[in-house]
Amino acid sequence: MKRIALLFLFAAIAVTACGAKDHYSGTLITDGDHRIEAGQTLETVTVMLGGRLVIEDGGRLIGSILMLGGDLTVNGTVIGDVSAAAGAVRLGPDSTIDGTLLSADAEVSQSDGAVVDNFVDRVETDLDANRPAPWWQQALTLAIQLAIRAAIAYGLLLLLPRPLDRAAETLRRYPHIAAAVGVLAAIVILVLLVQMAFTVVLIPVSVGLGVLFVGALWLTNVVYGTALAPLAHKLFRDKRPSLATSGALATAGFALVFELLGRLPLAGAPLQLLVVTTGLGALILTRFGLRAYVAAPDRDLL
Amino acid sequence: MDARLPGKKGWLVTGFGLLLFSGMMAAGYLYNVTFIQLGLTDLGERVLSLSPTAVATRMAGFAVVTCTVALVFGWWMTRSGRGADFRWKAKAALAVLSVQALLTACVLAVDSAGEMSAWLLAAGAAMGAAVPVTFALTVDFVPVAARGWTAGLITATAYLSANLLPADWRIEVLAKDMLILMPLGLLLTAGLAFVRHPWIDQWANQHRDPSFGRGRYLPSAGHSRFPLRLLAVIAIMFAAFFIDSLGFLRLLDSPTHMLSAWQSNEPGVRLALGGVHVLGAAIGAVFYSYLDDKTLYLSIFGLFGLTHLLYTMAARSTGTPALAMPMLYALAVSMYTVVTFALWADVSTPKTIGVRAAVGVALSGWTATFLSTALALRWIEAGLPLTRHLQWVDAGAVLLFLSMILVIYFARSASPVNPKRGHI
Repeated sequence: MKRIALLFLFAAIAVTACGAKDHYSGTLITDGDHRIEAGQTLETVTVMLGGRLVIEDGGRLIGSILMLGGDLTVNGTVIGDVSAAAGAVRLGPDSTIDGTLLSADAEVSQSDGAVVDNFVDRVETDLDANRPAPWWQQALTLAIQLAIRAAIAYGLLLLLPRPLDRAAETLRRYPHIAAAVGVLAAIVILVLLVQMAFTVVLIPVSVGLGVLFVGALWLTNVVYGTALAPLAHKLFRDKRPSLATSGALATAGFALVFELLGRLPLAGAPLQLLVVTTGLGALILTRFGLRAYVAAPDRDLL
Repeated sequence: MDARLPGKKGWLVTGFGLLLFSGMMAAGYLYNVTFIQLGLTDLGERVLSLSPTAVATRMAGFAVVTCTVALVFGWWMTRSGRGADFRWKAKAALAVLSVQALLTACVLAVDSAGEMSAWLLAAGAAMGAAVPVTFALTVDFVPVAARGWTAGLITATAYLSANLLPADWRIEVLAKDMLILMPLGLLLTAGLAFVRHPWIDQWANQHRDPSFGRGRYLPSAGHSRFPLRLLAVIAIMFAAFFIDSLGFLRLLDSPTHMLSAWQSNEPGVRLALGGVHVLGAAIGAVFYSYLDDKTLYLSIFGLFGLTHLLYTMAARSTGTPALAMPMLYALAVSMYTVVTFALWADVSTPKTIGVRAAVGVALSGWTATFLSTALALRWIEAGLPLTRHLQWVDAGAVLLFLSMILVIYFARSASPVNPKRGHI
């Protein structure tokens, strides 16, 4: 198992390090100013989340543009569709969109002389979908979610009591170490997944690892539940519930507190992030519960 | 032997000393990363109109002088037994700080290449003496158990201050900033050197307590494992500094990368970078204190590899680089800076701290700096493009990362894992 993991790690890093030049053509713009100059032709699918893209007069972009934000100024030519869900699109007098310009909530300004093959303005959106549900519906949804989490936690605690207990023990005894490891791991894993996806070759690996990562983040719920199981245990007084029962209850309780934590203004989201990454750290320190973690200050030097 | 004042007061004095030491070291490091590394480059290139190559050559010469003086001074400190003499170290620190203050005050009078070389020679000598003297004070102020956290505090304070200072890297501004800080440092060091006070007496005797005086990497018998294991660590730290310096030297030459990060006009960007440095320092402190050193080095090289990979990919495309790159960079740099501040005292006793800190800092830090400067200059002169330069740096970081994995894997296969060790 170790050898396979090592081989996989080597292969992933080696291929990622190659950079896969010219083997990908997706462009993701998140911030900053970007420019396609006169005489320049760029063949790529572009996704804009923010920032600014200017296609100058004489510049050509071959490929579709999907805008979820940002600012697009076209004075040259786009051969492909422009789908703007948000942000701003400015079409200069010499601009050409050889495709469909689709606008949802984007701000579109079109100069005289701009040529657009097909312009669909203000796609109707279901505004009712953005309205908050009534309180009873929210409460019911939350209750169902908590019940599902508790049920999954119960099943996992029946199947894997020792690994979860090891991770929970680490969380109880070394939260600061778990937090440090978890924060670093989360940052690196996220960046690595995005980078691997850019190489195209590694998209399947990236997706697979992404699923595992999300699964690990979800598992932190159960780890917290297991760590808090002794508290839930006390609720039963004379009865002696199993670890699975008290752990499942504690998982539901934790999930409720976690949900409420997120509603705190400003500090809510960072605190939630810290809580989740600390749980992730506990899982990593125990290698997903495969062995107990003991911090020892008296270590050898290499 | 208990060197502390009785009761809680003794602990309070230790804590205050620790904060005092952290402040002084952070100020010293801030002086190094801003005034020396950035200000002197500005002096050479903007004020004296020297070519970047001429300035870099002089800076490499400065590193050689610093390295040599540090080794000689550290060796002499250990041989003469000064490393265990707190008052002497405080007096030496005062002398070094006075020279540095004087040099900082007259830096604006430098108006030729020759004068700059002479100035750098004097500054290199002062800096070289400062390395063993200031690092040797660790055994007087910082208990072994708190070294990781103290190093984290020093790193966080220095880098946060460096990022919060106005993004003006002109020598005039930096010299003024440093001259405001220096009188306070002179006053404090003079107090440590000459004032008789129970608190200072406690600090002067703390190194006699094994919880201060015996580094965590030394076996209980008190004999160190020098030189083999220390050399291995020096080699690893050298590699970390070399990779960092080789990459950063070229990025310094790329306005797009600097103006969107460390030299950004937006305080929010610099604050975010400062925040990431603090986060990196905290992670480094925890890793140093509770995890094995292999995990720490793996993290550092892994981060460097990833960062340079991002820079390489960004350099191929058009447009402004994302803030994620300098942030990852800041994380890695903070982590290894923590190790630099904590490690050398942990492989030493009060008697040997002078030479070991000098050997460690000089061979890993300064040697890496001038060698990477020389290599970067050679590549720039040869017309190596930015992308290719960063690819080499990236390859180096990934190679080191993979080598560390192999070393750890085979080391573990060869010997059973100690279940008491804190590793991932």
